Amino acid sequence: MEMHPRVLDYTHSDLDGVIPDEAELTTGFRIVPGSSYGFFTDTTVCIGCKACEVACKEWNNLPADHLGLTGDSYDNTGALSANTWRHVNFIESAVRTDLEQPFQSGWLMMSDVCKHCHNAPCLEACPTGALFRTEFDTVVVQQDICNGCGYCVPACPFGVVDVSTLDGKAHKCTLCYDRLKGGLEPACAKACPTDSIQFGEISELHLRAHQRVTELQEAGVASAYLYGMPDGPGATGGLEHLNAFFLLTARPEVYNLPTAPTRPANRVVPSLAAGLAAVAGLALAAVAIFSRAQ
Amino acid sequence: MPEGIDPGGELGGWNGRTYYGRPQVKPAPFENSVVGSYVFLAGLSGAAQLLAGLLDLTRGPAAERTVRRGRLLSLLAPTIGSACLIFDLHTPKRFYNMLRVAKGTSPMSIGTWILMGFSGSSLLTTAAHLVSDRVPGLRWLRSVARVAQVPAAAAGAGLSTYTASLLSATSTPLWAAAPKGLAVRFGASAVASGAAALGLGERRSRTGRDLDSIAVAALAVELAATLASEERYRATGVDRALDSAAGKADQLAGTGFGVVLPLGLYTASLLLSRRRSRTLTTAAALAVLGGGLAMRIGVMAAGDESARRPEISMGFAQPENL
Amino acid sequence: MQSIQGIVTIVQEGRFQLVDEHGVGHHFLLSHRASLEPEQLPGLQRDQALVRVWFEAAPDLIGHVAARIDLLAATAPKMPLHPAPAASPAPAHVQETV
Repeated sequence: MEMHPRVLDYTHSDLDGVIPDEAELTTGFRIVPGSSYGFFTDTTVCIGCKACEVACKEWNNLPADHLGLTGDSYDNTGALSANTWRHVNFIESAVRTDLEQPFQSGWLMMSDVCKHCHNAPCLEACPTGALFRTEFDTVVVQQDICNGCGYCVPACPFGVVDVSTLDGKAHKCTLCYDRLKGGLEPACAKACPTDSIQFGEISELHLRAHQRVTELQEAGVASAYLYGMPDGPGATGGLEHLNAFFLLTARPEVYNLPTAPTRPANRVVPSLAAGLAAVAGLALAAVAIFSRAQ
Repeated sequence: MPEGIDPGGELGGWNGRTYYGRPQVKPAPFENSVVGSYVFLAGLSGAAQLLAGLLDLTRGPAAERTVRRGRLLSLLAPTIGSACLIFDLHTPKRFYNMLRVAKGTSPMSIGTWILMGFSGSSLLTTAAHLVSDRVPGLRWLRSVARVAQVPAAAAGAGLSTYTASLLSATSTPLWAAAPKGLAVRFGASAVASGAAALGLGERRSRTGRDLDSIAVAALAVELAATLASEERYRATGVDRALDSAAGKADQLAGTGFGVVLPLGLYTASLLLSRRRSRTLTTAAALAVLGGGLAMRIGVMAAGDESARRPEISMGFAQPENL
Repeated sequence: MQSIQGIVTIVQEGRFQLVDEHGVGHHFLLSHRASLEPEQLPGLQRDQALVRVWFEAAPDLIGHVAARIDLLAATAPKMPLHPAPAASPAPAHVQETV
């Protein structure tokens, strides 16, 4: 990425305030309300450092949870939860079957996060309107409205959002809504040392992602593909596309992702219609039975 | 399967491997016994109001005692049912936020408004009926009750079945696999519960036998829907969730005790004697009510189990099931 | 129930950090049973108010669940926000937040 000319305005290290529109300098994108923003996560350059997990916890003042070791490779975080909004998956896959010195070439690492789906099931399920679509096309839970009904939790096809039994509300990644409002890119994307997590405007990220897949396939990585693109794996069944999409090199299930999730709201009308039809039918039978001459 | 959806020939099909056996979707954080009780009471109240309304419109004053019982039963959902729902919220003091929106994609939002409509109109019908009984000068309130029972019955029909669409509109595999079957099951079970509860108060009346017949019809529909649902579960690969303790409880207590047994008892009472057998019908009614509650709680618990098992949720989220 | 006295230094949604008189930071989640609402927390942080937080332990978390917050003084006693550059580094009692 070439340096933005404005970088030269901030060469001193003791700054007295936030750099205006800092995201322009760190990502190349100016954050403008009304545009769609998200993440493109290129898992082929992820080094599994978990800086994204730490940055997310630090910025959002989240307590450390999932205490203890899991024994699942380097993944001691386990899963996304009410207090964990970034979670790095580690999969050690066997690649070499010959007798040469084994080296760590079979690592699969992916930083999991809320997908900020275009047709977000959590938002569609929320009965209080706490979950809403922001001016940056992201999905956020308003903490002063949520009453912890928990309906968003089973709605999410990716198992992201969770209700905290301690503070009684639902929590998930906000795509650093407060940072976006201040012109800063999200904490995880800023902390990522390899630019595996790239923040930006969705259509631009799509272009970059396609270029990267082509580049990888030409270099011999035939298994590289995009997860969360329109009509691709992860964005099936009416979800349209995922604002946080990934470049993966193994099947989605390996990374604990669903291959063909569905939009739960598609089931509302068929279910209601069938149920009401059954009750209506039984009501007609009841009328016939009650009206019988003795 | 559509070419774009499968990640690619290079990667092959899913070999059943999961991510360290960790859940891939999250189970609902509902307390199953509390929310299951609400679903059962909602179905019972809604169906009781519906049947009472139909009875009142077809037979009028002749069935007055049964109609009054139905209107009293309809108060269960607005009172105990609502208390169950508020109790299950993780921030109960904000329960009124449910009334902030009316969202067509959310059965919980739709249901909130169905419950509001039902509660208002049911309270009106029951209050009007009871007051007109006790206060001689206000007999005309009975007509108010007759009018108000129409929207109450309509809302009652919604109340008896919307809870199934609430469960189906999630990513929990067992609930999502057969949305229509579950809705018919819940609706038919509600009608059976309503008829059973109303029938408990009848002796050897003609109304009693009619309610028994309605219960038989409803139970038959419920059984058919249960079998159809289980076929869908097998086709989509989520039937393994029924092997769990919760799944077996649902089948045994919900379907066996709650549908098959009372179906037999009611049919026996209808066929074997010209006069209604109080023993058989009381036993059948108690089985329907107990089994109905068990079925709701069992379905919810089995669903949670299907969500916890990644081999089931990943197996469900495959292109073949789209 | 235990309690800690200090100044609220960081607030994010329903979570806050309290720095006590020894300069030690403590992490809290606001319980749903607390009468205080999350939107009242930023005000406490802005005013640098002195508060006493009554809390319960949180299982499997490094943090506490705040059940009650008592306001002791509308603003904290005067203290420097930046340590004097020439003097030996003293632990800063209050952190600036962006």
